[in-house]
Amino acid sequence: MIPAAFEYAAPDSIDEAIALLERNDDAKLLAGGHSLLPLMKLRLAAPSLLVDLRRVSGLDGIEEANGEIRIGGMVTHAAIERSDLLVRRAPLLPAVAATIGDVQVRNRGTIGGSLAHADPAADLPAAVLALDAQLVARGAAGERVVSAADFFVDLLTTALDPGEVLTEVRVPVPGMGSGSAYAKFPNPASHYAIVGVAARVDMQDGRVREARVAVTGATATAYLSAAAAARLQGSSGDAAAIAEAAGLAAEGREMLEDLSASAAYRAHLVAVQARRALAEAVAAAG
Amino acid sequence: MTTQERPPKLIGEPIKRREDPRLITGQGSYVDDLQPLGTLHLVIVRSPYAHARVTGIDVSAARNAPGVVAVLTPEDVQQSTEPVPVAAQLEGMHMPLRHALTGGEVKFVGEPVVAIVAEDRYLAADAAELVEVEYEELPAVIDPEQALEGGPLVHDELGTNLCVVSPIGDAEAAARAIEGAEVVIKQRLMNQRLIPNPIEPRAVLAHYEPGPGTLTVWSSTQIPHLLKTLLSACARVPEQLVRVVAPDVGGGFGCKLNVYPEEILAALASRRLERPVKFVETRQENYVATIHGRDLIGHLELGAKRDGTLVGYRIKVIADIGAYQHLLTAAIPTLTALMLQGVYKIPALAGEIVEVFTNKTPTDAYRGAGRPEATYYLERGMDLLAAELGMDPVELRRKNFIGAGEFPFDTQTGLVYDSGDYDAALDKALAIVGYDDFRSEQARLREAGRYLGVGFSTYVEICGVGPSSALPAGGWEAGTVRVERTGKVTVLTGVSPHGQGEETSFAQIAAERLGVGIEDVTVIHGDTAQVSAGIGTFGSRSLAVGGTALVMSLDKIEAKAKRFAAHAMEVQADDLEFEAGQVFVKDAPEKTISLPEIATLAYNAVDLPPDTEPGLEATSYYEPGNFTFPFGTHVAVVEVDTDSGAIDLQRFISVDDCGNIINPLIVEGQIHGGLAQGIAQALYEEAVYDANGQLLSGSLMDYAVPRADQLPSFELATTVTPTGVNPLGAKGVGEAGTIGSTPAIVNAVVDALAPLGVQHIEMMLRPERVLDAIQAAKGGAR
Amino acid sequence: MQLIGSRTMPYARERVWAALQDPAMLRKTLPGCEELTPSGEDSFDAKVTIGVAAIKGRYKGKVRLFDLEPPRKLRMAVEGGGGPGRMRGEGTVELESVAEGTKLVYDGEAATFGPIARVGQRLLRSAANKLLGEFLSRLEQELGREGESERAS
Repeated sequence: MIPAAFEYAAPDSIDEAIALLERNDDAKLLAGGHSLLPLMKLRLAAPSLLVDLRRVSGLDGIEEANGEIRIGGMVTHAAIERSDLLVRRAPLLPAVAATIGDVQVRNRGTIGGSLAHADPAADLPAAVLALDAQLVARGAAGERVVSAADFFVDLLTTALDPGEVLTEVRVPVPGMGSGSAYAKFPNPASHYAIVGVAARVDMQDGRVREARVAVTGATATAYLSAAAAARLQGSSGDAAAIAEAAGLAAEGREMLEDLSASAAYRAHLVAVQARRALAEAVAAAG
Repeated sequence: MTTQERPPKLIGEPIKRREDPRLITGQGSYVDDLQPLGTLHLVIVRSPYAHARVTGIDVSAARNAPGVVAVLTPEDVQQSTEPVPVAAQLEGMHMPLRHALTGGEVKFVGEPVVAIVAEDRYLAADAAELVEVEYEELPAVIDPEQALEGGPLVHDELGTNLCVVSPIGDAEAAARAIEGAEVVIKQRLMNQRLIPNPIEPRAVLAHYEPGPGTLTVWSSTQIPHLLKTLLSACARVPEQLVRVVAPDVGGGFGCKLNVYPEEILAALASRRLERPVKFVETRQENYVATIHGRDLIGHLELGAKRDGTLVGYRIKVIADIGAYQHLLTAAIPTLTALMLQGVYKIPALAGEIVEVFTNKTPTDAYRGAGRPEATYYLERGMDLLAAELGMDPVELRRKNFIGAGEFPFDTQTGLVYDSGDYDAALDKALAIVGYDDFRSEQARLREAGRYLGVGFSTYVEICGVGPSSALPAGGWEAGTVRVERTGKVTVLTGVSPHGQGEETSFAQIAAERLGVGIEDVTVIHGDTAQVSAGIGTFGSRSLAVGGTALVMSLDKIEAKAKRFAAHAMEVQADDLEFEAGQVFVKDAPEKTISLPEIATLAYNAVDLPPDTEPGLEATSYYEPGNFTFPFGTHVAVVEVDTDSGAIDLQRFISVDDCGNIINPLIVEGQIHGGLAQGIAQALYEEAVYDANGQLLSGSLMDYAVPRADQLPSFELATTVTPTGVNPLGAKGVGEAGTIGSTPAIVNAVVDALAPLGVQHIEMMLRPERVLDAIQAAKGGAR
Repeated sequence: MQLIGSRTMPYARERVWAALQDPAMLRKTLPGCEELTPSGEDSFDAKVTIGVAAIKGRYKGKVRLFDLEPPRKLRMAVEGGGGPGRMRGEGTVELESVAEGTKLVYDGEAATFGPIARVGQRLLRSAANKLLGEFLSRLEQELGREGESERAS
């Protein structure tokens, strides 16, 4: 529980932070620290330099513009949970943020840090997948935008290059007739998701125009279930359609297996949680 | 002069604990808060293997690392210290010797191999990574039942994995009764291994001062006096030169009722280096190097007549005690044996406790220490029997209760239960839960596809530990009361509370008796230099045993005060009353003298009564004549989600009888904590090992110590059936909550799922296990 | 934990077999490998800094190849230790000639000891599979580069 020695820097600007990352490929960004610092204390991670983003300005805003809400990478889970704007305009995000860890973790953990770390059991990846968010990465070569669907590549691995900072998350504001919900089955010890399903449906004239079913906790990386979404599309969102769609949500995926759940049980839970999330989402849309 | 206005009654009052303000405002003083000048830090290199031969140790890089002052290796430590002490020695027991560092063969993950002492904790941790130990992996013994049948040995020199077998009861009578019974329940019941998880992991600071040759040890311990004696032997410092202090201790739950290698190593290092040496355990180390609890498999047979009358009970218990005995390891499963009978009349009873070595962390006392296991087996057995007979589980229990008029009651295990009224506790619990309405509500919800269940546990437990004949180092307790010259009162007690609240409850007792304000009484504990004798805090003994020593000393103070008063007022002592700090003549109460006035007389000693020494202080040693036996009824109400197997604990009712209550707030607090840990065993906590002896549930990320939001608001009530064992009439309550609660939960879950054909589910009740049980009962695949 | 996987590479079986015996090739392709020196017949000492994302550790270990049945099958044993703990693994590697080239199939068991086993449990299998996948993809890449340089020369 004693980390190895490390250097510490708290630059004032994003460019300085990027420069530090470029110069030192054993450096790690520090946001809320609640994933990284425990790893360092267990000596499972030993970066030689921590680049703390706390003094970099411009990363903590939540603003709406042009039909999307832009959330700075350093915005905490607690701020997301409490944001009136998000609760009104994109309620899935605060609903998911409210389930993260506990109060202390939410006060410190950030959306940028959580997404960049991409723990297979983190909650926010499911939210940004369901909301079809765009993630802004900034590095020495400039800025680029990656869609959430392309962002989560592999275990603890995202589309970010080593020298890039996740500076902003852009969430398109769901339209009328949209409903969303997050059904999380937490690990009673860590409160990570054994399985978490974030569902979002857009209804029109009593039919599901579009659906997004995002699953976290079940596999090496959070994913969207195209099969579940396809089954639901065009249906009335009734219980039978939901049940069938939910049954497809784990299809073709290699489930994680650990102390809290076997692969088979996880697959079962994906269906159970998907059913719950979809039922709630459809009800919220109506 | 009239009798003065009576000071407020204190005993029985819900007085807020005086310990709390300092503890919740960061003004407590724990071992790691102590930073004497020049303190060095001790870090341990531990075995990553459950079983391996150490074929080489290279500390050269570590020795030369920055800040390193000393490196201790096994050979050195084996020559310079005595083995880690084992107090519980049972007849016929196999006992491997073990020193503070292990050279030849390591036997469990976390076993200490090398110790580094450095200028600061960080440099010590860095240096520890430079130590190179070569291991030759050996097969790990993990399953205790397999370990008995053959295969690799944990300790080659013993020729067996068996530690000891302890029979109890009458095997022949039990066999006949079971064989002749109209109904017999047979069940294997796992009472799984738990990790105590005190909020403060272990810590020790040893300071050897070469000038006076004294060794002072601050340790997060439950037993400062015993530690003093044992550490003096291990570290080879004469006992009269050793002082042990237990400062504020952040929870013990039994895991700090022990002597650990790190305490011996800190003492050795300090002695050698002549500087203070501190060891602070990390949570990771706590998980593997601090003792574990429970881990008993019970093979139970319960026999009854068709009408539900119990005729016989037989059980074989396999105890997985881990790789070594610690201080009381072998004794804990024998406490299970003692309490097999529970609250029932059982005409024939027998148990066989088989203790087995495996390559896991050693087990020892953990809240309840053997009694939760006994209660679990019996209370699950009763529900299984009720289901088999088609009988209401409440009626089955009541039918077999030891009646209120039958106390003191001789058990089949050689105990004498002091007092009890099991029906009263049960009735109270039934009223609170609303049992009559519950069953109809349950039926109504079942029609709607919802599975609600209720589970009972009627328990009795053994505490107030205890008669010295039953304890390896004595079970007495010592207490001193000193009335100071100014009339203030100092209480010195040999118990070592670390959450039990005796700074408050003892002050209540002394203050009321001596008529001083509670703020004028100070209770001192945990320092062998201030408190000359004691045994410690464990086994729910501090109030029952320590409190009685206090009462005995108060009696002596009263007697001496009367002698001084009699002499001063020129009357006979027998003509005097002592009440609330005033001594007055029975027939002429206006003739009175106060305690402070008596103190002045006693200390100035100008005119001593005959055969009376100066001073107003008394010390007593109380040897308990018996254990005490708290009891109660716990009821759990659960709803099970049959889609996921998740359990919602909706209500938990706890009716407990700990005899006379000195402070109801403290009793509630102890019950709350006990319930949390007992419920946790059913629903949240389980130490999981893999086939290589690696602890997989190795941190709070995977081992779920429940938080407040994972438990319901408890519904508590008490009955009061005083004990005749001690003058306080108090039994002790520290472990009762843990002992009674676990089976109530499991019984409730099985009750909820009974209509689906589920008869039993092993703990812990993780949702997957519950779902598997439902599926298995349905006979289908998921 | 059991680790099973495969990869098909567009190279002849003999080349893939040779690569698995070649310390220079292994040093380039084992993820995080800093040093790989032969220490005997078909065995090597290795130093690797291995991990996934931030979770990285420095390990010293041995790789041993045995039960060689060229060019189709061999057994490989790996063991190593470092700060976060120790590991050992053993498995079979089979090479099958297929139309597209060579199909490499691995099937083995791995175990971890010490701190990594205590806290890494939920991620270990995924991490191990990821690293094995990385190894195989690098192997394919290096075989490709080797082929190019051969063609070039």
